Amino acid sequence: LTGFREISEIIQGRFQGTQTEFIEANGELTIIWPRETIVDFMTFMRDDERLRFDLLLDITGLDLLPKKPRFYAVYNIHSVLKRHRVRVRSALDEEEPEIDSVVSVWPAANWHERETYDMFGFRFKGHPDLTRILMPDTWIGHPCRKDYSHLPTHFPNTSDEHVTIIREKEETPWPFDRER
Amino acid sequence: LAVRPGALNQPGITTEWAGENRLVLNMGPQHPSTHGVLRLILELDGEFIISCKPVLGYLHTGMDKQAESKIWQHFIPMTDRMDYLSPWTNNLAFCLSVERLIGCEVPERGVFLRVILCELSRIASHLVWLGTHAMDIGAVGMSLYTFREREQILQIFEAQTGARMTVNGMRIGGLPHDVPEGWTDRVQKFVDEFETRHVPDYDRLLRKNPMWLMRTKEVGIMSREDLIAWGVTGPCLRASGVDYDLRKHMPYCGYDRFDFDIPTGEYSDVWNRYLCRMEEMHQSCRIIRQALKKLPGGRVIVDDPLVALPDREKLHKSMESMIHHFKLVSHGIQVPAGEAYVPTEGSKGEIGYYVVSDGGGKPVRVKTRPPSFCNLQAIEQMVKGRLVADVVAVIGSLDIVLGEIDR
Repeated sequence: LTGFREISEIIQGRFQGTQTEFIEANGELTIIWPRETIVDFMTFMRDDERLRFDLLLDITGLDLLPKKPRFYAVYNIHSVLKRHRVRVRSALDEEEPEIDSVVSVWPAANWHERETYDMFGFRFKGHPDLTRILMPDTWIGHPCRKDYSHLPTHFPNTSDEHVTIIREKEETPWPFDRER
Repeated sequence: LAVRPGALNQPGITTEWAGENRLVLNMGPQHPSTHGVLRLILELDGEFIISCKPVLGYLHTGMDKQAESKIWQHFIPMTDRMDYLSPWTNNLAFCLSVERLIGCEVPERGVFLRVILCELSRIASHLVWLGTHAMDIGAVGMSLYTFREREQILQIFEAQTGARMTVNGMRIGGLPHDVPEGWTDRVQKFVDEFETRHVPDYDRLLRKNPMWLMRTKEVGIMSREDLIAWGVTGPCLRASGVDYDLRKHMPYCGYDRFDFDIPTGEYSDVWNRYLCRMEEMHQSCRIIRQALKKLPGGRVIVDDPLVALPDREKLHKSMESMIHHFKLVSHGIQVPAGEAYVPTEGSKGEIGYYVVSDGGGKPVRVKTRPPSFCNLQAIEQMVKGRLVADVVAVIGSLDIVLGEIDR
C-alpha cells in the first residue's frame, strides 16, 4: 500500500514541470492532469514498479456547465497488486472536447470511451471504433450534457434531420462493414 | 500465465482461419440464454467463432441522467432496478458514496444489518446464476431447486421491506426501519438449513456430472493478466487465482470485522467460476452467522435531522421535526460539494457510484460502474475460436444482468 503523498511524489519526480494538481479529499486522491500527455501519463502509471495501476475501472465524463473549464474526462484506476487507487481528471476544450484514447494502455477502456462519447460527445482520438453504445446509432445529441433536457417531451430526435439520418443508415446494412 | 499449458492447442481449436465461407449469426436479443436483451453478432466459420460483437442498449433508460433531476434520496429505488438480482448491494454502494460526502457514521446495528442483507442478496444472486446457468447448458432440474431456496430469501426481504426484488431498503445514513420481530431467527434458520442441506445437494447434482464437466472445463479461458487488463472483476477474476475482493482489499461497511476467506480458483474457465461462486455462498453464510451473533442493539439510522427523516412519533409532537421532515422531503439532503466513489464488492464484481455534488439537494453527476458491463466486454476474448455452444456457457458463467449493463 502506497500512501497518497508517495504517489504524488513519484509522479512529480517523473513529470517535472507539468501543470498538475493533487486534490486529497474524503480519503480519495484526485489528480488533475493536462489532456495533451494523458497517454504517456497513464502508461507510466501502469508500468511503474511502485505504482502498477493495472486495473482500469471506469472512464466517464463530467459536465459542470456554468463553470470553466466545463468538461472533464474522469478515469478511476486501481492497482490489484499494490491495493491503492486514484482518480485522474482531465479538463477538455468546450467547443471541441477531444482527448487521446487510452485503449492502447488498457483494452478495458474501449467500451467506457464509447459510452462517454455516447453520453458527452467527447472524441477519443485513436479509438478503434468510436460509435454509440447505449443510444441508437441515429440519435442526435449527447444526453448527459447539462444543456440536454432530461424531459422526454424535449427530445430533439423528432426532427426531419433524424429521419434522413435513419434513411441513410439503412443503406449501410451490416456492422462488420465498418471494420473490414 | 494462468492458462494450463496446451489448453489452447487442442485439435480443432485454433484462431488461424483460411476459408472465405463465413456465416454471420444473430444471437438475441430474444434468445433465452442471453439472460435478457443482449444481442450478439457472431461471425462463424462452420461452427467456430471468428468474432463476437455484443450490441447493447435495448434496456437503456438513462438512469444516470435521470438522477440529476431528482433529489439524492430518490435515486435509491432506481439502483434496485439496475442489478435487480442483488438490489441490496446496489443500494449500499450508492448510500456509501453519498455518506462519504456527507461524512456521517452509520450506527452499529445499521452496519450489521446492512452486511446481513447484502450477503443474503449475494446468495440470492448466485442462486439465480446457478439455476439459469445450469439450465442453459442442459441441467434443467437445477433451477427448480435454486429458485426454491431463493424464494425463502425473497420472503425474508419481503418481511423487512414489503418488496421482494426492488426493495428500496436503504437510506442515506442507515436503514429506514428496524427488522421485524423474529426476523433474525428466520435468517439464522435459513442459513443453517441452506448450508448444511441445500448447497451439498447442488454439489451432488453437478460436481461429478460428466455432462456438466464436459461443458464447463477449459471453456472460456482467459489468462490472469488479460482479465485484469480487460477490467474483469468479481468471481470471474477470482476464479483465475487473483484474490481481488474489495471486502478484504479495501474494507467498507465493517467487513473488516468479520472472519471469512476469499475463494480463488486455479485458472479462469467456466468450471473454476462455478467452484468459486459455490464456495462464496458458504463464505456469505459464514459472515451472516457472525453478524447475527454480534448484532448490537440501538438505532439503525443516523440521528441527524439534516440527513435522516425524524422518527414517526416525534412528527406529532415537535415543530422542529416537522420542519426538518418537510425540508428533507422537498429540498433533499444538502450534500457538501465534492466528489466521491466508494468501491464495493457486489455479487458480480466491483460496483460503485461516482457521485459529484455542488452542495445542493440534487446531484451534479451520478455514474454507475456496473460490473456486468465491464465483464461482458471480455466475452469476445473468451469465445474466439470456440464453438457456438460455448458462448452459452460463457454468458452464463459471466453472470450478467442486462438491467445493469444498459441502465
